[in-house]
Amino acid sequence: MSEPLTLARPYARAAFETARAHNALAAWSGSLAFAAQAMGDARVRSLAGDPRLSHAELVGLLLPPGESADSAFAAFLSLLVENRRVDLTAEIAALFEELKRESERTIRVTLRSASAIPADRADAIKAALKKRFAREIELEQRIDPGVIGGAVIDAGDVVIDGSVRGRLERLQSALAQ
Amino acid sequence: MATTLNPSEISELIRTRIEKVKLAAEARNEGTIVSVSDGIVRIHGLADVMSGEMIELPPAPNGTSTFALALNLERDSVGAVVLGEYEHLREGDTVKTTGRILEVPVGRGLLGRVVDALGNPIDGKGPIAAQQTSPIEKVAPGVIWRKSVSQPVQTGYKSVDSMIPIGRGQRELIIGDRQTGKTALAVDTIINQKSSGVKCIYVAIGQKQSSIANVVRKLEEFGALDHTIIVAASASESAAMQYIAPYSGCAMGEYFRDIGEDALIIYDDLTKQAWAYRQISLLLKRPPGREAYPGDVFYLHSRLLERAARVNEEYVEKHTKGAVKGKTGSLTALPVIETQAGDVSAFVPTNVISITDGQIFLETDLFNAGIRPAVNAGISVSRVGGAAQTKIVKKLSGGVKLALAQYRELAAFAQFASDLDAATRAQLERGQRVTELMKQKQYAPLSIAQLAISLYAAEKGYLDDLPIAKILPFEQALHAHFAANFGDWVKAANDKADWNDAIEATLKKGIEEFKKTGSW
Repeated sequence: MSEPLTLARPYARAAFETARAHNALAAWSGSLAFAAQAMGDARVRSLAGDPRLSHAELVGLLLPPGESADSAFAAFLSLLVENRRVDLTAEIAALFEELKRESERTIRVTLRSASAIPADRADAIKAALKKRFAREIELEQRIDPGVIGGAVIDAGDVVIDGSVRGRLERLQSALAQ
Repeated sequence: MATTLNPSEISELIRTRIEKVKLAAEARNEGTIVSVSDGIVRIHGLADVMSGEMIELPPAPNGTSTFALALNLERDSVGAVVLGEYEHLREGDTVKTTGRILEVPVGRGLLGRVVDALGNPIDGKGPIAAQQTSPIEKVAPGVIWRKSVSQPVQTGYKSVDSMIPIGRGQRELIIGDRQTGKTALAVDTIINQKSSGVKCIYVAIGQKQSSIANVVRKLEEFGALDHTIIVAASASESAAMQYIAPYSGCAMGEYFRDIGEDALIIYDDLTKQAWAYRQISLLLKRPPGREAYPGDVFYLHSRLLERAARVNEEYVEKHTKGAVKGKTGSLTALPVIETQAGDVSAFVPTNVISITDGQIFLETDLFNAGIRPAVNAGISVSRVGGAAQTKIVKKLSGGVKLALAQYRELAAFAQFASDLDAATRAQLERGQRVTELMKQKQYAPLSIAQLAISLYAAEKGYLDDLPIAKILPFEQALHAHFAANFGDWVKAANDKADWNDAIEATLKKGIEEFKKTGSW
């Protein structure tokens, strides 16, 4: 049994290559996000395996409004439906975004803090992170009272924890040992 | 509890601990649990995790921290085995890397204690007073740091010490079916190290809790617990604990080896460790090979047993940064393997036989025939121990080895006793007497002097005119006679274990005197 991510990878890669060849990364990204969101809906998901629904009708459901039924993206969707991999749309969309960011040399970073961080401070953090990761930074700020003080920078796998909560936790585990 | 709380001491302790905690912002690698099953977690993320690294999992409800060992690094996930309880883990939990590999406490504070595979005390005697920790997986010392085996480990068993001698730093396998006295041999060896200064580590893997408790009780009863560490991963503990227990025990033994002392470690038994490793490997979806074991089951045991070694003075000096000079250290390993119906050609037994420097075969047939210890002297060997034998035992053991070898060849003819020529009959008689002499009760290890007396009596034919049933009572009375009348000789033999004409003369005189006057 393979994991969904492993199954989704070749599709995401193929979609990404096609999009790049057509110079339509942004459009594909939007369409994939739409399809993923549609599949995220329980009602749509229940239709995915329904024999009363033809492949073309299911593709039509997932196609964003305005996208023609004979576009490259529609072909990609019908391929997914035919191969019964339409469940993987969310994973494919996520992997596509990853590939897109990789090609644009950007990285998405979430900054969690107890209270709003002033713009100049956020810019300083952004500049420091840009230096550290050698990437453009897409900074997303989130207010999380649980942090107590300081901030937590979350960049995918790497987490830089400068929060009061993190310190307290480390102190707790050190004392409990 | 009798201990009183000392407030200053405790706040002092807390202060030093707080000072040790690094509170600067930390950068760490995080991932999320994708699945939890049978003690195996699959984790998404953790791009920088290293193989064998500890992964910090959410703590258990009672606050104890939980760790996992990263074993499978795959493209989209990390397969890790949870050390201990895993019921509180949920899909989606956040985990983080620690950058450390698993460590256990080591040092003298562990002597006399019973600990689990992670070095936590489980004997209810309070916390372990160990200042040091050591990683459980370490590379064995290289060739330039090694020294030949030249000092003996006395097991106290007549049959083993005379025919299959074990040297300090040797790896000698104890192999046999269930109920053949493998653990008894191991425990007696520990008991016999009371005065030798050899520290012992007994690693119990996959055994019943009651068996482990029995061993602990026996060691305590014979005063052998004070120089012993017991590492217990019982059958009820997770496969991960049973898998790492030998490595933990080995790390504790290496501490003594590296500071220029001698240690003895018993892995009881490695078959169960291989089973535990097989379970983990199959759950991690590693491809199964022969007998469903993974491909690296040989390496599992070879890397463990390679750490048993005798190291030279330079190694000890380097390791202790010059604090200990001119002393060699050793770690002797006695791995135990349980065979199924005497099948030594199964996968794990053949592996371990090929890794070790010899093996002691224990056989069900001999055991049932009343020959205990049930050592099969014909197929048991020690490849390096001969060089380590003491002079006196070496000189005297040749005769019994030969007598038994000849006896085995002729044993088939024993039923034609009346038709045989005198020489053959004499060999048969001698063989029967030596076989009888090699019998020994449990918890009754023999000193070097006692061993020498018995071997000399057998070799010089002093037993030939005794009825077989009288041999063991005769031996016992003879030992008592020497202890009472030749105290100085016994002491010298035990301390120096030398051999010369004067020693032989006393031995001869004592035995002849006893045969004339003694009763048994």
